[in-house]
Amino acid sequence: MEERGSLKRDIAIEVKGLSYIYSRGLPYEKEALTSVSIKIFKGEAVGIVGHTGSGKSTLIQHFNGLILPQVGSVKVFGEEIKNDKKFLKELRRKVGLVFQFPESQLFAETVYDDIAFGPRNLKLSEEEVKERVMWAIDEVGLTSEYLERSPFSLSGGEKRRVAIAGVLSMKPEILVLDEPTAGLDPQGREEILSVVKKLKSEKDVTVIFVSHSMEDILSLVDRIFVLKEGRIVVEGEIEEVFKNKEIVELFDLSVPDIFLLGEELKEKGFKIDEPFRDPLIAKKEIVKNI
Amino acid sequence: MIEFKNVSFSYLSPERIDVLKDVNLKIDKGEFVSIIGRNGSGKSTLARLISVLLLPSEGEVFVDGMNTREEENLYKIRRKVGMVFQNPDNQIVSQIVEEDVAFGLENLNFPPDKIRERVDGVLEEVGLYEFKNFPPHFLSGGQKQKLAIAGVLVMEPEYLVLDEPTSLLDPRGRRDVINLILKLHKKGITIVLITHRMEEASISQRVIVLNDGRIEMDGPPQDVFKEVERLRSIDLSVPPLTYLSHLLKKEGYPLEVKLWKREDLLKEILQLKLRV
Repeated sequence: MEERGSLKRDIAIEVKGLSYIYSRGLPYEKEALTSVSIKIFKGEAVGIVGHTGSGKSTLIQHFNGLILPQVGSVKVFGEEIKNDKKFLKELRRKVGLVFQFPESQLFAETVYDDIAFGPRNLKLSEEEVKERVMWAIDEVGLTSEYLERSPFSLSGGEKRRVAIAGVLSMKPEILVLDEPTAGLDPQGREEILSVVKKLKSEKDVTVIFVSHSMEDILSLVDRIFVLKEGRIVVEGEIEEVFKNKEIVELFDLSVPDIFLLGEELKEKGFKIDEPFRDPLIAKKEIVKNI
Repeated sequence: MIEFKNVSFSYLSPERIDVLKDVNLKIDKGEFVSIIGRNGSGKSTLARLISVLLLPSEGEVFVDGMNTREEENLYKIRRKVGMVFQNPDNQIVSQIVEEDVAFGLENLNFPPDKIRERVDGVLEEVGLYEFKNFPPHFLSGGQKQKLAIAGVLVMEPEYLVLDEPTSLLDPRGRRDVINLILKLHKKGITIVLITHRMEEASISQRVIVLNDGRIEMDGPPQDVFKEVERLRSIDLSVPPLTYLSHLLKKEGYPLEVKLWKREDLLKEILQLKLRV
């Protein structure tokens, strides 16, 4: 347990002094992470942002043991990650990782078999497997009619939702999504964001959201971490970070206009209770004032 | 000028899909046109018909009066029309930046000193001169995309067709590539930009909205993005501030729905408060 504000909250992931060097010892070795320490609490949604090459992917691959710490430690629900087959298997069930372009990993002949792959590996009965598949497909907003279709006949956004359902079917307690909306059209993006919002609201799932898109980050997460050249350079509540003009400029964070409009209205005497995360919230807040 | 006359395009196998349906369109020299539409609306097909990677199933496409169907026009059209794709990694062919840029000219048997001159000029223009001896994989995503654009520019095209060139880039890379596109437009190159990002479409001079293989809307961004309900009905979004003005108007406030600059919308909302 950890004291944070007035709340006591369980820690989901605790990273301490984590450094990682690719191709260690070779002439072109590259330091991808340098002394990273962060805490992510159970049930919260956090965003990890940073330019390409800032170390985001390297960091999140530590969360389910795809990369093991070279220096420093990673604890998940209090247990330190170690190179132990049984431990890692259990860890990967708890921490679901949705990679970039996860649809490229669809392989089965039907959507059902694709989503069922993980639960079957857990040696669950076929009945339990079915239950999980039905739950997961519903969770990503698709009907059971999709289950008998080939994943390759689906649209880009649908494929990606099936891939996410495949991770959800393991019932992870922590869900890590790496650029889940990249390359989708506006509709596909909306679909993915609403899946994550739903998960966040109804379950005790901890969501870790990696994205370039400040609009996505703003609409979803409570706190953000900014990575730059392998170091955490900013950490905080999203409003506090976006409000801080110096930080925004220094780290080239493109804060969405809609958020800034809310802050400016506040300066002009509007009473704003909720930060402008999207146009719907903005409308609600403005209407209260005029 | 690029001209589409009653153009349809269908894929026949494994099953018949009508991608474009009776499209008529003119794009003048010097325009900056963006094309938006959801996945499957026919955007990429339209782009590929211009660069003659595809031929229409019905109708005709002309580039500067040359019909893309006639084989003797193929080289001339391809020299005029440069095409850039979504993923720069698929467009880079060489191990060294400057060799990659030189590739097209070498294939045309250009004299070496002429190649040198053009390659240096283009690398300077896209801002990659200092990386000319680097292997491409040392570049960032945005730099790679600029390299892909350089490889096309070296052929001195009059038309540049870009199919979602920024969708895989981070914000900085995106900004760099968009600035480069604006610069090339200013230089006189006709730009056809396919994009999912409404803020990119809104900097062009003309937005063409495709829906289900047909042109749904065609006009300056200020006019197109006003039609919030219509765009949303075909699964397209509008820029957030435009959407906000639409929502406020629906609540009964006298507010124009348009592409707003933040400072202008702020003033307008403050005015509203004073008036009420």
